[in-house]
Amino acid sequence: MKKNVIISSVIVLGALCFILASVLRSDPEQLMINVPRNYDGMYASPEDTIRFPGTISAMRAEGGLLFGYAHGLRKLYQYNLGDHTTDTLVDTRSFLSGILSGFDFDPVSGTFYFLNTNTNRIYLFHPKDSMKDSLYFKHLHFAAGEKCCRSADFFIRAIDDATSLTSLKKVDQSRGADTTLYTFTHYADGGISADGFFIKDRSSEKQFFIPYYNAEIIQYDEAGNKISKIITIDKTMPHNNVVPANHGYTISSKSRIINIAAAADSAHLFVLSFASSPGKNEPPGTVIDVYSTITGQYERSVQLPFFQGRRAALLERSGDRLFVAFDNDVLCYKIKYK
Amino acid sequence: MKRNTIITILSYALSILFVYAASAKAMVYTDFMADIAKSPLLVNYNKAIIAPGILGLEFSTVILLQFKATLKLGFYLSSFLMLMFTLYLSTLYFFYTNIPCSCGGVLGRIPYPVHIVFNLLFTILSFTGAFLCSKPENRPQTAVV
Repeated sequence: MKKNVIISSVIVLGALCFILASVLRSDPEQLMINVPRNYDGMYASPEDTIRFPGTISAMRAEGGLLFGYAHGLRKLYQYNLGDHTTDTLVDTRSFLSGILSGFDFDPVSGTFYFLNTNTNRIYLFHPKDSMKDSLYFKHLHFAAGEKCCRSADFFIRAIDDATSLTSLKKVDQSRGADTTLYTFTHYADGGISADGFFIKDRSSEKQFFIPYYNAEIIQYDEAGNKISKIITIDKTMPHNNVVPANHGYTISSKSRIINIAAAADSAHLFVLSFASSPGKNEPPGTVIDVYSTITGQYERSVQLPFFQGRRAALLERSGDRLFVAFDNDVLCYKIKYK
Repeated sequence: MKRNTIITILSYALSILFVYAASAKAMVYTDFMADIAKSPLLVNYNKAIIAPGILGLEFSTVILLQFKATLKLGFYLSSFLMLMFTLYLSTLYFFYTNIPCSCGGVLGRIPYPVHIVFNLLFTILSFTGAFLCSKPENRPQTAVV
């Protein structure tokens, strides 16, 4: 009996020592990936620094113009890359209230779109004639979205109020009709676990839903009406990251954001990642992973330095330029391939 | 219930658990490696050693639990592994934000608090098996197969 107690004590002590050693050697802030990143073949050389009057919460680039929306100031700005001037396009306080849950620009019609989930409306602004308008989605509850590349429809993340399930839908707002393109497989939690953002590339007519908390990026090819997935290299599976609250669910404090921002061109998807690879000095939010939108495979990465001690928050791609927003500063990089 | 019967049931239960857990990990070995690489507790350990090491220990436990001569050692190894898994998961659950559990199949899908209680239960069962094996007069008369 005495011998058994001694052996058991050694086992318990050994296990505790191993866990203690692991805790002392651990790195709780690091979200690790299992593959080494490939830093060859692509370079981002700084070209310009653009300072907006306020922190930019959404941006779009088109031609020689960069549009930045400062939600704190409720103003939409336009920066001309040719003559380096910044203009205020509109103060949205007169027609937009609540939290901005999506921002888009259609260069064909010259229309800006501001999505507001509080009112379930998309607010439109035409700078040419200063016309303001809004579209009300009375038949469904949307959480985020953007305009489709080809049609006048919207590609949105909608929540079914009856089941609390979340889907990606293509919505013809004028007819009040919608098509479900993809339903998130995890948890009827009102879309909290499936939170993310939208980006698109007009030239390839591809749109992307980038989840904050997992690796499954949903790619929608409007031309082929096809949904496919791009799995980011951290390979984090979709999971339930909510906890019960008084009236429903709230995001768990243990949830980890993996994908922060993204941008796309005709063949590539650029994802600003919070994950680090083993043995590398990759502080969270400094590495952009590049994926092929044709094969869905990871290709390479590029690392950006902290800008004045701040982390990158937004990405945008236009021509051979990559725009990276750090609060109210936007760094313009020229992308070069080897 | 006779002591031998309890020992036999415990060894079967633990064998099934370890075969299931090890097989589920082995079948998705790449994901298992990825989970280990992501773990904040194991980030500074060599996953090329940890991953096969865990599988090796789990399968070794199953083998040790099959023979009379090694039954007690099997229970002790099982106690050690189950205690390690319980402490590992509890530490991550209560003190860390990132909880990559490598368990496959049903075990990977159950909520973490239930998983911890489940592990704790099997840790107690493993120690119970080791203690019961120590009574010389009550050792099983036949080998557990």
